[in-house]
Amino acid sequence: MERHARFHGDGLNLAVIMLKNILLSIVTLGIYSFWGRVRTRKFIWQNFELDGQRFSYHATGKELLIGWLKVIAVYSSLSAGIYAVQTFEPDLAPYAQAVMGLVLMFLIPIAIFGARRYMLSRTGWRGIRFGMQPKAKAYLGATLKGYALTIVTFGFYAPVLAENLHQIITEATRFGDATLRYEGRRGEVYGTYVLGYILTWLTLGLYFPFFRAKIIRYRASRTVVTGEQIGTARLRNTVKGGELFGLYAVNIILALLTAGLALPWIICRNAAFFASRIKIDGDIDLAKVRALPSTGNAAADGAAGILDLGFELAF
Amino acid sequence: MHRFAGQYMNGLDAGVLDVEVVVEPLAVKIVALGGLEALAVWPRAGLIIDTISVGMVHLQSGSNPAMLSVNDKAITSALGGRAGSKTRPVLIALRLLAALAAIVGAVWLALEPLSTFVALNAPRSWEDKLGDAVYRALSPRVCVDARGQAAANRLVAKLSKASPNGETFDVRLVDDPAVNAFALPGGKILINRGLLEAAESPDEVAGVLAHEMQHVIQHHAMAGLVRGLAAVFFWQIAVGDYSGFLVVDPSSAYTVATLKFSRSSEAEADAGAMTMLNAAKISPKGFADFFTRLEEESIHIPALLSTHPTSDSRAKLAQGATLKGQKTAPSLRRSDWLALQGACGGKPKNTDAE
Repeated sequence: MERHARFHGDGLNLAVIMLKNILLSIVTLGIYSFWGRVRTRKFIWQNFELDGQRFSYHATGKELLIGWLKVIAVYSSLSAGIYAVQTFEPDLAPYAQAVMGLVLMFLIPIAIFGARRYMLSRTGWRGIRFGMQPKAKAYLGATLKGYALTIVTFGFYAPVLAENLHQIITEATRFGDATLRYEGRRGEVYGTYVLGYILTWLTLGLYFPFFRAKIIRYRASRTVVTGEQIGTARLRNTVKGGELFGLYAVNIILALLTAGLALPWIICRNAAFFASRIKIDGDIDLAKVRALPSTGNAAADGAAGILDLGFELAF
Repeated sequence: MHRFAGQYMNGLDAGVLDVEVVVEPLAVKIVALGGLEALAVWPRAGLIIDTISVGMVHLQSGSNPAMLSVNDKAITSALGGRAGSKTRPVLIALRLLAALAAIVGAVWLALEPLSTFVALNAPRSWEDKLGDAVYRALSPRVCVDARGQAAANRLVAKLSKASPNGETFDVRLVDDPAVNAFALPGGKILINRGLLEAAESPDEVAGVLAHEMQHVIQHHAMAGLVRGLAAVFFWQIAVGDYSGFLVVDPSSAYTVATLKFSRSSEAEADAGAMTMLNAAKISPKGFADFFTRLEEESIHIPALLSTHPTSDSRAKLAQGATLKGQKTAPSLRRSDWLALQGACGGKPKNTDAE
């Protein structure tokens, strides 16, 4: 049995939402933007349909605002500390900055993982929530170890690192009590990565969509949804390099021609593009998936926003 | 009583049930298709109606995890909610865009007078600290040459004595080949070796110096900083991106914000420089000559794109400012001029200055 996805959103309705967000944010000196962000995400999530059912988004503006305030409190005290050292003990400033760099090095992977965990805990489908196991430490460990090995091996470890991180994220993810398993093997894709890096570099980026499409297809084909009483199903993504190239090219042209005003249309084009290429094969009895409590911390969402760590919608 | 087809999800498992939704005066009754008894009865008070999806309404009851999807927008009005605006979305979007343009325009117009007001009324100590921070960030290679420095100081003294304004200046010569000069907040003025070498007479340096001193006197750096920060703040609250508040490295932000003056600031500095040169009995011709030659040697930048007035308009300004019958004298003695040009180890040019 094949299950497929569809995106119902349109650029015009999203543009109205985004313009309202901007206006209300200006009028409220930015406070509204957290509620605005919820509305934008709701529009994207809730117009995304998989197997006849819409996704839902359950975060609230208040939650995002509080999470952001917590991050600001921590971050500004760190910055104030650095500033104080620079002002009163300029000799120690390099050490203070090194400590700050170290803190950020630890914070960034935790924020990436945490933001995704929070997002999934607020994402629903068929009436129950997605979720993520608290594996931020494993993710952090793999990131730090991976960067070290990548440096030591002059970059040859980079593909393994990318796949390891993807595996941790994927296998921590669950839908109710159904879990995901990643069966990707490093040896199978290593060549694709190396070729992808080299050709992307040689073609000044033109090859990137082809590389990315290959990785997306591979990753989906090695991802299995499974649960105790529900059976097993496998993801599939039919995206092709040429199509992805066309998507990016048109997006860039639209953005340039409209000085960025086409952003809502670009978001919807992307969502519709990926929705029409995601499939799930296999007989699973989704009705038997049970809800589990899902937790996540909105502060991670705030931190990811502040550190400018985008996360991808495509899966 | 209205009836709608819908789908009910209990929130405990991922099952989806086709149901009939009956909207009653006080409650919403959810009945399984073909069933008789209600699966759930939700009081209309406390009903959460979510209409953001295209072609779909989601309903929830208070903190109950169960959800109801109805793919008929008419249920919203049946529940007494806002049935959605009848105005076409295109018109709404255009109106919002017009409102946004009006706000941006108003802020843009208010920015100049507001930033000038703040700059003129801000405590001097702020400006001094700011100037020190920028100076540290730039960390220029200052040329150590007592005679050249003395000559520069003499030029500054001549200009400021002729038009007293209570400001103190601290001019420094910098070993940098770029033809440039900077005014920092608080009174520091940096003159590059490149500019000293490109100048063909002390009057040309005096013209540039007068211009930079005017930036200090009129607190343009502070105004520029206020304008920069206000613009960043406005942009960030508009797009809901607060990252900039935190990742700002104060010194680099100041550098960017203070070294670029607005076009009107440049024009004000030019006008002030003319008065200053006249008062000091220095011919404004040097000022015009310098910029004219500079432009001939470099790429032409249209006035609209540049923050600096064109050298053409500067030459006209200098011409207009030249007082008839006014006796002018070279701004520096020949020995001082040679010392100034050679302060950074450059070879003094053979000039006609006396």
